[in-house]
Amino acid sequence: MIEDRADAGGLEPEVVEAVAAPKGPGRSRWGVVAVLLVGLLLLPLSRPFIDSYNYTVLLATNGLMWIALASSWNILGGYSGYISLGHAVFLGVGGYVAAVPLFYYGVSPFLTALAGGLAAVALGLVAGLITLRTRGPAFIISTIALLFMFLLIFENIDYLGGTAGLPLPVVPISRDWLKAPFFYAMLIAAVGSIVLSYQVAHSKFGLGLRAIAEDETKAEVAGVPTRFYKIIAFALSAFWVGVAGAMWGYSLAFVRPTLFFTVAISAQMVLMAIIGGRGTVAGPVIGAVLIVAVNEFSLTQFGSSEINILISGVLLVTVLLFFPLGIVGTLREKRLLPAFLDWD
Amino acid sequence: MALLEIRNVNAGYGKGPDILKGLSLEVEAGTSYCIIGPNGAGKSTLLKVISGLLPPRSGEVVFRDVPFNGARPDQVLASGICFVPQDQAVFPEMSVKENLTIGAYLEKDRSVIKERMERVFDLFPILAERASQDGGTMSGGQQQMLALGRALMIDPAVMMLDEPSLGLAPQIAQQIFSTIRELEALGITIVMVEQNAVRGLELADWGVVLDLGIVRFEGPADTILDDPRIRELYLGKAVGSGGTT
Repeated sequence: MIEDRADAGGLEPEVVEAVAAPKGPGRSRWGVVAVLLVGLLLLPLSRPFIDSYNYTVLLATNGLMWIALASSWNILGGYSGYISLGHAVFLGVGGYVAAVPLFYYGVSPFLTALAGGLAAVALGLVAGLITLRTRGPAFIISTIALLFMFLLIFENIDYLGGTAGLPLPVVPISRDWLKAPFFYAMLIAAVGSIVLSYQVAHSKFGLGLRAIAEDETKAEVAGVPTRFYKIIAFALSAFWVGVAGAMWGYSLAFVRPTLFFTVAISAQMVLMAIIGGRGTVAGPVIGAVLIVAVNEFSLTQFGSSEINILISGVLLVTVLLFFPLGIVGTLREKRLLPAFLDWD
Repeated sequence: MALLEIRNVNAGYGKGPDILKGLSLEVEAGTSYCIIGPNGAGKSTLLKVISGLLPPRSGEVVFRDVPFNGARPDQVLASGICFVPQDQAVFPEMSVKENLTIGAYLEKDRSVIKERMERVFDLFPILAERASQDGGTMSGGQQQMLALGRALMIDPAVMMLDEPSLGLAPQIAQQIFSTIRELEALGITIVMVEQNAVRGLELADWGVVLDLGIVRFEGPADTILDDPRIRELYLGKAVGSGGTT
């Protein structure tokens, strides 16, 4: 599949299709995806059949959110190689863009989530213009600075509730089905971000980003408009994070600056993408599922101690020891990647 | 009127001194140039200025009567001048095909890209064979072919080569030189910097001797090769034996 990427790089749509639906293993891949999707779509309807319904749906919603975040982060950090530790900013901006109309005017975040995403894109463009003047460690630091700047700003605006934030009303539907709308919203965000990531990976734009990741000067000499591309990648990678932020705040029934604007959330996205495989389509998805599962396991086993952080750390070290390119990246290099995980 | 004109260019790096000191040079279409000169003469700097990687401090580069005035590398490339840098001109983690695709980055028409890729594969059959192999896993000579192939993908009017034979075994270097001859036959104007001055001058139509940031001599390549002064000053002992390879 890898050898066909040049064709798929936005040159020949026929080839993209040939890559997407080859005979044999490819069919099984789409089979797996279809079964998974149908299963996910039906999950919120399973209330009569599952004892731990609320817990299951909540956990799945959480997993889908992290899939959306890690996949989105990967568009900038994976493809173009620019590590952002400020992506939590977009989560917060999306959260507040949805929370304010709800708090003051009762407008449902399900209507404003898209606006949250677009606000994140707009911020991505502006922040990209400034931070992408730097490279390497300087870029990472400037994205952290962006995060702290927003924390400070949001904590000091009374209209936004300051440090206390804004309490939000719950969704006006039966308690039994309270979890379902958020689940579907996060499912849309997760699928949307995977599709976006796939589209970017298989476009000329994506090839340009990969060239930037390999050698920015060379990419420039080859005619890749590097500055423009990096900014667009930054903005695109913000969209679904913003949408997810809008949903997340609403599902928790409050927004608060310290909830969103933390390096820990940004770092989690990075961790997931790296463990799963930076620069691959499936990698961040695998990483997100793995980390959410491990976190949940340690929480249920050891209570809400900080031991899940320790376990995450050990997991990161172990995975990178055996899978230096992340799970998907390394398996592919060794040609051991099962077809249903090869989305590139 | 010359195809490409360098007019009175001063250029240098950072806050350092001028490397090019009022250099002027005219490049005619369909002629191949070999630029020689001692280390530090400004050979690579000149190519960087033309390609837009290093903006000149003063003076201008004029291509087809249009001054570049600080054009970016991609704009220079779009106008038809491509640059194959000294080393590592390929993307090691991209396949041969992806490397070539990147070469035609500015071309929108897919059928044109396909045609050009066919032409590159005709010129370098080894690249067709290894189309799906990663650039970084190929030998030095193959990588240089890939670099030339990538440059060809933009269908350039002028191709600038910075030491195309650097680090290659003599036979491989020979192969690269004969490929460059084929490029000339395709009507591409070649501007090449070559350490192996004798080889380069044998290949080129016109020789340019750079020293201390200006053009010291220029003339038909065979005249330069035969000029006793230049032989003594810039070609060293290699001349008598017919090459350093």
